[in-house]
Amino acid sequence: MTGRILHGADEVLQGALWDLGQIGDENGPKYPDAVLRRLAAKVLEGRAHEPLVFRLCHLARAAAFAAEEGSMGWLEFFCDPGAGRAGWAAGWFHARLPAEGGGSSEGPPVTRGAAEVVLRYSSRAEPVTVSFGAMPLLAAFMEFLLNTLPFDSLGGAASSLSRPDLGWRELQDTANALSRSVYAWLREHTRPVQDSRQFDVMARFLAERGEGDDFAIEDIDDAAVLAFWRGASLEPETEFRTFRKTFRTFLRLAEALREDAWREGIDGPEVLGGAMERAGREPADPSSPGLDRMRAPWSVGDPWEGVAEGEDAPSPLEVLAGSEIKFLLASEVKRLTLVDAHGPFLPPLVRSLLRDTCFGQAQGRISQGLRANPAAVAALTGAPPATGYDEEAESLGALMVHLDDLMLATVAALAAAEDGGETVRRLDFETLGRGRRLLKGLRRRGFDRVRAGEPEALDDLRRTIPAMVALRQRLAPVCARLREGAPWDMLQREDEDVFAEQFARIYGTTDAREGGAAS
Amino acid sequence: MSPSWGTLSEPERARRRRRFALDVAADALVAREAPPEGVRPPRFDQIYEAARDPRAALTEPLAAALAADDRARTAFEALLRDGAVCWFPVAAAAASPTGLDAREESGFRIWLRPSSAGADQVYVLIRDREERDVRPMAIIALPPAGPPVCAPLPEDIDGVYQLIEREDSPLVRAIRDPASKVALR
Repeated sequence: MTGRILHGADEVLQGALWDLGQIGDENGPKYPDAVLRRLAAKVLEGRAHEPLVFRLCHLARAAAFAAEEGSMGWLEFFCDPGAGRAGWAAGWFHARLPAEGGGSSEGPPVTRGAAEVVLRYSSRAEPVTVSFGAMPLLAAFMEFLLNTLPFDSLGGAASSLSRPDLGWRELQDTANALSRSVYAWLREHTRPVQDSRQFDVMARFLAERGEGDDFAIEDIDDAAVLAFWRGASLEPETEFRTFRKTFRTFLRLAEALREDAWREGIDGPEVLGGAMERAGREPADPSSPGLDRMRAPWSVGDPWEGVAEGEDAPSPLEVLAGSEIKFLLASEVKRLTLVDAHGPFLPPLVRSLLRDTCFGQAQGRISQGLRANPAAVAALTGAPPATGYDEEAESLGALMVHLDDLMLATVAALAAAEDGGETVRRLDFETLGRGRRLLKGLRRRGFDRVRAGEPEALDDLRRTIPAMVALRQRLAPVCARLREGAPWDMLQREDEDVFAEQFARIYGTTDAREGGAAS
Repeated sequence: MSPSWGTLSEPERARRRRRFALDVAADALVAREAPPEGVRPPRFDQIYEAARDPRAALTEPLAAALAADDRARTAFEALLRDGAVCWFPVAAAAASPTGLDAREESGFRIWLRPSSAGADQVYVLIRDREERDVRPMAIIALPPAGPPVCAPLPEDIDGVYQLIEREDSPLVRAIRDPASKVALR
């Protein structure tokens, strides 16, 4: 272990994760925060990296086949600035691999389908697929390994993976060897994440407010979040100084409390150096539970039914933001980030969401002001937020309309290409006509290719349908609650008093306005 | 209504606590605003670009980092060797006490010639004897110790690239040293 341990990671691991966030070009960071966050969770979570290593080996083989000649051609894929976006990955493989012809055991070793690459191994009847949606996480993982493991070990693994006649057993051996290297590195640089201080403080607070010293997820409401922050933010050395951090930690608490089917797989996760290792289990056994969860959730069934949630699946916003079609602007992506990450928990907490957006931003300015010009902070603590509650609610409502428009335009594009399945065929002329008009009016990047009916653009559209549907499903209940609560200006004024008073207490300024308690 | 905390079994509580701690830890590690203290080794994407992009410059900080970090240097050398137009490995011991005056590999010849303009200057000349689709755009020398050296090549004249360097420049010293490796990229 090197240096100070923070959240289970030593300084070397902290640095490796930091480095990944610094990669990018004039178009922005290579990897979205959501991808890096999922990767961080994987490397911290005991042996959760094992299925990831196995999938990475498949992807490295696909990249080696698709790349130009040279024993290190596979790096062309992983080192390209676009590798953090699923849409770019799809385009890269489309341009380089033959199309999948179907069948289970015959055909070229690596082909590409509409939403995935398909790999065939000798001595294994069933082909293996790696979805384009899974590739940003895998690319980030590969770059993490390139920054941490000796290059020879990765180069050697990739070299053996690029052999055309590679058998399944050899693939397993390569994956297992790589997994052991990852395991050894992580064992050196991680400690089990067991810090539950924040959990204990919040749980104690909720239990004291609840009946009979107990609490449930429903006890996490706007009033509880605000009351907790008003107390905890004043404690010395507190981890809850900002409302934003407090609210988001409550959302994590709500997630942890939720009964959730997809969490069953992480029951008793094996810590590094645990019993499985002592029993001599191969680390990247392809039968590992969780491997199938890496598969594209939209590769089966009706895409209009939305994304089946899974631990390793990219979030709907990641899918949309990673497309080569500009469905969402950067500001829209930013506004939808919390809805995407915590959608099911937000409807009862919409006032906290508004507080987070409006006063979270204000508190950020105060923190910056403290560093730059402490004398000016007093003026900032009492200033009204730059964005009003009603304005923010309207912006989210406008995004709902935008998602509806995108779906209608998608329907029209797929109908024009005589595609889209039963859902599209059932639509009436009026709806299709409206979709056509919307499609014609969309001036964002990539829609000209959709209008021209380019097959790759239509493939991109098909891949993103479930994400559009899922994101809308997350946003709709939030917008409904925001509409129910409108207008918000009275509540915003109440909150302005509360936050001004609290900011003055936290930052020691003297012009605190007196304010009543808001709920 | 979800089950209350008090009704959960101890293993269930432990599982949820751990889930929470893991989520918060992952959030915190990704959201940090400043890098961890200490010297950061070069990132692989920087090494890759410096080794593979024909037009990429080898910045002074990166060259220094490659000299200081064995892992990074190994990766740089492997990438350079794999992608080079021509790779000159470690040479046999030089006959002359001043080191090598020339190296030859795969149709390329690199040699040093004193300049008539100044006693402390030498020409670095590179001749390509073959017709190739890809032409080198830079020469990179990897001395056995110390930072690698990179110099862009000018347009060739009749198949000869010509650089003028100081006699004691790192590039000339590296070319003379039989233990150095040289790449035309």
